[in-house]
Amino acid sequence: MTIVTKLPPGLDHATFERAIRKMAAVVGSQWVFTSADDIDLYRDPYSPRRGQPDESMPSGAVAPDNLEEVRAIMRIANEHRIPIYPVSTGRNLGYGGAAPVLSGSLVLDLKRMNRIIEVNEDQAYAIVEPGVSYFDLYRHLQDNKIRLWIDFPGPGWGSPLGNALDRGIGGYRFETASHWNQHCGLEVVLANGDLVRTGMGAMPNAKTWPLFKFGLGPDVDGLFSQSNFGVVTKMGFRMTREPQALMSGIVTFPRHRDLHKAVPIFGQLIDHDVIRGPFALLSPAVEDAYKVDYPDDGPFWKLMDRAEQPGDEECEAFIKGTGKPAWVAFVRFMGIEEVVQAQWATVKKWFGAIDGVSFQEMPMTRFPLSEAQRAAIPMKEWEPSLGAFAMGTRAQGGWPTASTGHIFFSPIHPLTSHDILKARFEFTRVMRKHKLKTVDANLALIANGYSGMVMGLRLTEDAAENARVRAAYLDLVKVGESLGYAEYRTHAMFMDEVVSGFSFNNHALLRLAETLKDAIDPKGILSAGRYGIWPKYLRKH
Amino acid sequence: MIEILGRPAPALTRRRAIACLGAAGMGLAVAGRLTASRPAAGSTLYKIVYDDREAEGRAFGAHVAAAGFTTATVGDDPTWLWFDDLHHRWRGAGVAGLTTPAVAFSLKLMAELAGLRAVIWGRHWIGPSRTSHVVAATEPGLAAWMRQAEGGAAWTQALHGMIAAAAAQPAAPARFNHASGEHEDGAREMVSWLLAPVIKGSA
Repeated sequence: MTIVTKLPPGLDHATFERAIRKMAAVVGSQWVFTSADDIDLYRDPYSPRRGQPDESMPSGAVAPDNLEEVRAIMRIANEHRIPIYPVSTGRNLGYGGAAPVLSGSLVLDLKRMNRIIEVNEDQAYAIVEPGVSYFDLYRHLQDNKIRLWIDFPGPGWGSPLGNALDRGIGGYRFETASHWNQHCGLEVVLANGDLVRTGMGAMPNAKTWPLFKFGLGPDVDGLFSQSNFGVVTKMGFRMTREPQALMSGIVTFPRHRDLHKAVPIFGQLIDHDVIRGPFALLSPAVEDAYKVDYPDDGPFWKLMDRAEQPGDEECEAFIKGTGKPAWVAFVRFMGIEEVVQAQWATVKKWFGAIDGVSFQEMPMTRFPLSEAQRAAIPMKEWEPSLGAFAMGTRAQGGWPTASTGHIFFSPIHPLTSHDILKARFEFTRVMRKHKLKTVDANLALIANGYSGMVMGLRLTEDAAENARVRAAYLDLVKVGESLGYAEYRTHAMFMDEVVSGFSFNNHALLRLAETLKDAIDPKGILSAGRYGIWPKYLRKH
Repeated sequence: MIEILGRPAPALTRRRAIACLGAAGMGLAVAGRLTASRPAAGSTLYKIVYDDREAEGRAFGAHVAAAGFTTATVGDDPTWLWFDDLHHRWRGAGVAGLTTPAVAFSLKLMAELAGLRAVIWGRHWIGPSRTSHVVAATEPGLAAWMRQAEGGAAWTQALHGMIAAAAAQPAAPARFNHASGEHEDGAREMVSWLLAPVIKGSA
């Protein structure tokens, strides 16, 4: 076996090859990948550094089949100080893919560990390995006629376990839409090779491992999310019961200033369990400005190009000129039909107090569906899909022309009208400064207690333009920091910069993470640099 | 114009820039090193997928159907084609298509997770007055593409020839590039692809 790839700092080829041979003896040589063709699969297909000298490249990949093989690989990695970068399945597009933060790391590809350990319909939970995809789980539910739903992110190819660890988001209910929230119990191989089960799972034969998250004593689960302290090999998580009914409604607000009344009402409806899941709020009046044929000196940009954020009167005048409504919210209800109807009636009643507001009710879908009913619905929002891959990759309807990918900037801010407007203004200005556009700047995602944005910054095949995207991203992070808004997750390429904003008391949080890192992973082999946590030998401070 | 390009395709299976080296028309690429992967013995083509909303897709579909290949149609979302059909069969065979870039990209990613590789990856920009191509393929596939194109065949027909030639050979990752000029402004892109099982091994 000839290994030609770039290695991480301080590692020589002879050591690397010795370790690779040992790993091949554990997993079988067919599951060790060091050829250029194979390594290529672990590059980030959306990387803004694609083909550039600083693109992060793995040195290879190894794919274990089971827990014992993972432990054996960790022992070998510790023995030879091989940096390991675990990935599950799918590719986390928009946040860095499977490419390691530290170039030259060996990818620990867990996709062969794809066993669905248990799905309990009565108790509404599942226990899975990292290589199980949303599609795998969906297929299992269908094949076994289990009436549970999965809360999934965009494309369904990802791993419920991996997405939860990255704190991905979905959309049904607040309880499950944050995928880390829905997890319940972990099995983890620590960086030092030890094996841990968290929560009630620490008790052998526990009956409530996937039911009661906290167990007894310190709640350590969070240490394994957005971090690099262990390889999670099993996860329990709560699932959503198939509802009796599912219904969506659209609430349209004609005026700009309606936002100031609407947002507090949304907050109360969420707190009173009337609106039970995250939803989108956008401005149709502004949407056209993000299209390619909108003039660069059009009225929207005249407003946004000013030094100060425009006031309500100016925004009102602009919106009136467009002839379009100022705001539209898309809300969704699911559960028992009578409750769903009551929730929608309550939304209409509460917002009915705002002059000129209008409501559009989508047809209610009742479950279970017959085969004929199922076939008659072309897009089923409760089924995972590959359709999200089309996002931004084909010119449609006046949106910017096809791109080759995107990176996400995902800041969180308070659920107030002031912050929604401020975030849109400030982040759009940054994009404008860098001569970039993203329609996502017009989209606020409303959740329970906070709001946020997920802005996709388009990448192209032009390295110079991608360099501009990188510069814009760093500006967005800095501007967010100055406003007190931070991302809820971030791209692997920018983790250091984003984490540096969490600087309270001289970066005490990062120092705590580093203390833990040194204790749990003394040789610094696991996911070096992930979320700014570097092993001691690579720290710059 | 005949060009000898024949350079390895370092990022061939991705949607990244492959420099447009040719000025116009079709060039011939026949040089360069052979694949570093050992072919999968007995690899056969399970199905050919085409976008029946586009004239080029329909023409291609007609060529391959006439040649006896089993076909399927796809629009913007390949989810259920993949979930109900391709997913079950493509590990032991190969699947080809002419689709939107998004469909091609998503199926390629799914195929790679299942151990398949892109054996052909062709980008075709259909402009108001001409169509330009950047094609990455194995040597026999690309040679077939060139022969037919040089002979004046429609590009969708040449595409069929390339896929048929590549499918008749044991599968190996794409290695050879061909490019034919800059694409026109406003051209819409379609992607031709052949995804096939490849056995890992030494050169």
